[in-house]
Amino acid sequence: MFDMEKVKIALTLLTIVIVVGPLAGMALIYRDNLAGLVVPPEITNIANGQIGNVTASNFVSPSLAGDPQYNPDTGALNVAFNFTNPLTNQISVDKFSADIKSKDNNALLGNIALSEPINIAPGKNGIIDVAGNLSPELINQIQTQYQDNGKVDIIIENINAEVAGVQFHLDSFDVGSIQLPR
Amino acid sequence: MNRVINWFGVAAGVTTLLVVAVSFFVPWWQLTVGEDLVQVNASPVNTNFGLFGTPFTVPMIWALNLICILTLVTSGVIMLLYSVVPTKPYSKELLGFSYKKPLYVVVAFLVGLIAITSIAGALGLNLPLMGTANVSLPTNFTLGANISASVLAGFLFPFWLAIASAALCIGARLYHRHVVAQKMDSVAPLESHQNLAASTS
Repeated sequence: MFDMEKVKIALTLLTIVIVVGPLAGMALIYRDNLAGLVVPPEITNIANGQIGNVTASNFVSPSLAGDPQYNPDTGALNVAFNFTNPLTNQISVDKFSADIKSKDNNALLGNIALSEPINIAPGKNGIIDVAGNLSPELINQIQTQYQDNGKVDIIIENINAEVAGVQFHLDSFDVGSIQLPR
Repeated sequence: MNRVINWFGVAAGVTTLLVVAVSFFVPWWQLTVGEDLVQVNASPVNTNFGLFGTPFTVPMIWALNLICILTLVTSGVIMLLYSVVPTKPYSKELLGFSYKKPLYVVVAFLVGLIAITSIAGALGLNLPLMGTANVSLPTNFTLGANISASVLAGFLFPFWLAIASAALCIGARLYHRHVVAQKMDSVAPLESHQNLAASTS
């Protein structure tokens, strides 16, 4: 009977130590910053606009790499975007498609899509090649109607992209103008 | 005289300790967003998160993990101790302490997981508990863009091992009656023989 009581008390004490010990220890460590118990620095960084190594200041949106290439005979359009992967893991650009419209009369000029999927290593630069076809008739018409400097102002609409397994959809994106050879 | 051992208890104790060891390396439940953009590795032993390749943990969750580790380890060790001396006067105390713990841990983990996914669902993020889903971020978080990601979630083998451990612990508790009865049967004839000898001398 004595043994039983002793074991019972020892087990109860053990349970109390197991439960209270880690919580008390952690509270002691974070006594000057109790919020840090549930909000680690990584979450604070996200709230401050930093995700991993990416901050709002060092994130660079994809930019045009050179001038878009347009063949007026075939209507083929090639656009290359430059993108630096700011993350610590590799990302893949698997899909990209969009409609190209004239900024002047909102006419659909054609579509573009990603030529081939691309993987971009952490911190590295990648060229995303996008190709499509524009309607030469419409381009000529717009040039005649609105422009005389060989340029056509375009907007990209209905943008769908899949990057690192995440799908993005943007309604429109103003890319400025493309130079068209005469 | 044959030593009485609760073999269910031995299996339960070993399995419980195995659950702890395995759970340090493999989570019970894992959720992955996109191509490892966001990762949640959840288990009562080791819960951590990965965000764009940066791993981190939450101190309070780390403390709760430590409580679970200590609870499961003591439960496993005490279950093993009980199993080799199941008929001592204090054995029932040892069994009572150890057999419920793995079940409590499994139930608490499941309740916590369901609660967290339900809260996420209430905030507009319908995370799957198991399987694949396409989860859309609320547009007020994405500056008007529609962003959705494929999310893969599932229970991994340490979770099922923990359920097996909890079941074995309950089995050990049920088998305890049989072990005690077995002991009584082996003692009773001896006592009656001694009584007979005493009465005849």
